[in-house]
Amino acid sequence: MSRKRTLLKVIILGDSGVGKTSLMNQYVNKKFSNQYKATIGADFLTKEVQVDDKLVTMQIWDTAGQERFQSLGVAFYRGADCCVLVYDVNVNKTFDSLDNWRDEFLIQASPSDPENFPFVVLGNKVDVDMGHSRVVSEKKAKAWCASKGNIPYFETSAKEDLNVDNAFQCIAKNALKNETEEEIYLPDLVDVNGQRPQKSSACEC
Amino acid sequence: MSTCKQEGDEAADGETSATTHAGSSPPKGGPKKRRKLPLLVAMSRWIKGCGQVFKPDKGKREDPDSAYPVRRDVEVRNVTRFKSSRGLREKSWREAFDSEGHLFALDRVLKKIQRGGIVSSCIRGEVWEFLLGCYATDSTAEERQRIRLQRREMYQKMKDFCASMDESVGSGEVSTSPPKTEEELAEERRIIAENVKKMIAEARSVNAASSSGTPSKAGDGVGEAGERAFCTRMRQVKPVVSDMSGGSDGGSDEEGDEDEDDDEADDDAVDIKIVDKGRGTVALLERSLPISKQSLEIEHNSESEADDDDDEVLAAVGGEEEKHAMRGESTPNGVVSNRGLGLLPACRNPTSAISNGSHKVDSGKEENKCAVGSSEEEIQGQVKTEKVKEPVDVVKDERVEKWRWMLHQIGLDVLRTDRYLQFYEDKRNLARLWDTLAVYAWVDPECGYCQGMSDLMSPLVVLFKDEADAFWCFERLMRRVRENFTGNSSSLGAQRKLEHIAAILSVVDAELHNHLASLGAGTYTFAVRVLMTMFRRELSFADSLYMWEIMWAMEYNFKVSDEIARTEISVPGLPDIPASCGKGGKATNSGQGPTLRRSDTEVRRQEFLVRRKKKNVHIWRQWGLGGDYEGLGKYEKARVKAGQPSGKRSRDGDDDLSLFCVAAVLHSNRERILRHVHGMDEIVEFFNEVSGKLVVRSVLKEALILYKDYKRHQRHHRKSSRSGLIPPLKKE
Repeated sequence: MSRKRTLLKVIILGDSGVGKTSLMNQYVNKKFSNQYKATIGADFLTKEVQVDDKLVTMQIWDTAGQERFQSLGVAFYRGADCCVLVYDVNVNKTFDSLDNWRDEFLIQASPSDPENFPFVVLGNKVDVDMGHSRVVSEKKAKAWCASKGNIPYFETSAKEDLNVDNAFQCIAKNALKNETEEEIYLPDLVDVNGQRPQKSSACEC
Repeated sequence: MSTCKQEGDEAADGETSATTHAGSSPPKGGPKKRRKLPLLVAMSRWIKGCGQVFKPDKGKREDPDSAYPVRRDVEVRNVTRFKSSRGLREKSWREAFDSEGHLFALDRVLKKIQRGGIVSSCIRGEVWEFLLGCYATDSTAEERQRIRLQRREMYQKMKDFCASMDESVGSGEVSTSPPKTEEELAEERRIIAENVKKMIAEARSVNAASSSGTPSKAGDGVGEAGERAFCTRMRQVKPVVSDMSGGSDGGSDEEGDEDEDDDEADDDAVDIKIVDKGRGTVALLERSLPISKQSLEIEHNSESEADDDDDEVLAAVGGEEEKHAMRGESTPNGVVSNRGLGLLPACRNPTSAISNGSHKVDSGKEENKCAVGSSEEEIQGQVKTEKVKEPVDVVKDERVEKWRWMLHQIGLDVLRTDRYLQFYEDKRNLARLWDTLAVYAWVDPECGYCQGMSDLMSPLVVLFKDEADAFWCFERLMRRVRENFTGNSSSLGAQRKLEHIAAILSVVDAELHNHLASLGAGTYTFAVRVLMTMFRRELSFADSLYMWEIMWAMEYNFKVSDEIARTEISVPGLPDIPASCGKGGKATNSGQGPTLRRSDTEVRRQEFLVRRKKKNVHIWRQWGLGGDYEGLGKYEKARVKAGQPSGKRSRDGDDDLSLFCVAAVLHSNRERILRHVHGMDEIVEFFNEVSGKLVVRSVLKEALILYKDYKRHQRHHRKSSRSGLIPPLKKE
């Protein structure tokens, strides 16, 4: 007996220091730390998500942001269902490079339908300095998203856990739409042969 | 370091007492009592004593983790797994030098390090300098001291130069603010130009009101004259200009936001503009008039003092400090604020122009001469500034720009490197890490700064009290691993190394390699972090230091090391450094830039070798006290045995010990990988999990075995392919 489960592969891209690791950790572990190390190569975390009555496993890949690590991407991008582009609303350059990240992803991951591949853009660190140090306006970001085929846009703060859940819910939804029917089979917890003792029987009262 | 030193001394004392207690021939009893002992008992005790003498000294063992204390509020995953009391202690290290400071017992030192790392953490820095080739093995203590001082001076010069380009270097702070982008710079320039225009217009109208001078050029609508107008105008300038910038939403929004900023930020913004303006003026005047900056200032002061109107105008415009800056003097505060503007302070001092920079300052001259018609010196200055704004501001050097972006990246990374160490609770230590990386990024423009380098620099900053020593040690370390960090968006140097790992594993464990390749992990990208940070992220702080030093000791070859120690260091892009830099008269100046020649020459070396031969080497060696040495680590010996040229690292090659270490981690877990790893994600997960449980010595042991295996396979293949049985081995 086995239960079908869907695996969604999500890639987080963006310049160095925009908060990719923090966003991922905030979403998955509900924790924020300013002690994260700079990501080298890539790493991932998984989380079970409920999307429209469907339980899916989201595998979130966090990547290195420095330009030099871009060439390593190809190994990790393969089979992605959604790509999250993150920028720091307080640094112009991180917004400017979104174009580059998007293009690079499409080249390296070479999805079957690049025109409709789901992206989600996150403007992170909106909490910094109460928003006073912000340099990229929501309007500008939304305009960019609109120009790239109505990419959903969220303003987040990984530190304050602002909008993170919403954003990832949307990411999961979009990824599911694109899902390549890649499924994993997990053995059911209830073993028919009864070789594994059932927890419920142990604590009957 | 001072505490470390004390700890070390204590450890050494402990060690000494321990060895004397355990080691001296009669463990108990005084000399009188000894005579009374029966011969047999005495003999047995003596033998026992001998046994203890030759047993490894088990002095007080330092707790490796406590040597590098971790913050209490941080949970650290990795703790030391390194159990050793048989490594190099301070006492043995000190005894390895003769009276002049020659390291004569090199082999013994290497042996001890390979056996158990460096046990006394207080000598780690010194030993590392030898292992990395900072000093030649035959150098004397005196020579080393001289070189050290020379290098420190050189580092200071480089740092000063970097500070002249970006004040945050050496400021004791870690700067994370990004430099301005092209658009932002253009925006600011426009704002400045506008400011100037308005001020001139206002000043002229004031002038027109007070004297009969007629403005030569009308600004845009100047309503009323007077101080108040200036005040308000000055505050209004930004929104006004942002309207004029006409276009991007971001621009206007940005301005709007800035305007809402609190006072401090607002003041800063104004300050930057004024300072910039002032500097432009001075840079110009310096060129147009053959007078020094100081005299210029005096002139300025006297003139503006003479002209009351003008002074008032200025006071109204920007307050005391801004006025100060406006006159072109670089106040300590003012200088700092120029970071965002991409303006090179170097333009203040044209002689310190960067070698490959293209400074377009001269174009301003003609306009200077044109600037007539205004009676006030200040206004003249401003007119010039306005007109020549662009040429002066465009004093830009690609290299400097690139470097400044790297500074931003360094800032981001320094704040997240080993922050769990108590050491980095001190901001000054963070600044040291930042400075050393910043200087390196400038000195080695091809490599610059790449993530992962901060992980390598951090232990050095912890180990060395003097920042310069840490820097030079890093420079040596980078010679080994530099390739990993070079590259651009289309390729990373480490990828080549990963290919070598693939080649190694495909030879020594083809099954495993094929399995990984079938999962799409045949490029070994999942191992890039281990390779680039040299196991720093996978091991505890203390363990990664053990790992490094044992690796270096295993790879040690005194010929290579001495060669590196004697190479000249040239720093392109550094302004001429006065010859006083090399106190021993060793510093030479080749056209490219200053160079520092390593002190020892071959002649000295020969002398040393002759002298060493004269000693009765055999007796020395018999007692394990060195004398002559091989100067080779285990790994290096294996290389030589495998027919690799001794003393020469094949740089394109596949013979870095670190590669075999990574291969060893995979190979020793082959069963698990073959059985349980079925995807790219699983291999990443596996690697993360396994690497947290690494045991340094077994990894290195396995790596050495793999190397020998690899070479044996290669030889076999070569033979077979020669006889035509097997096609030649393909590496990739």
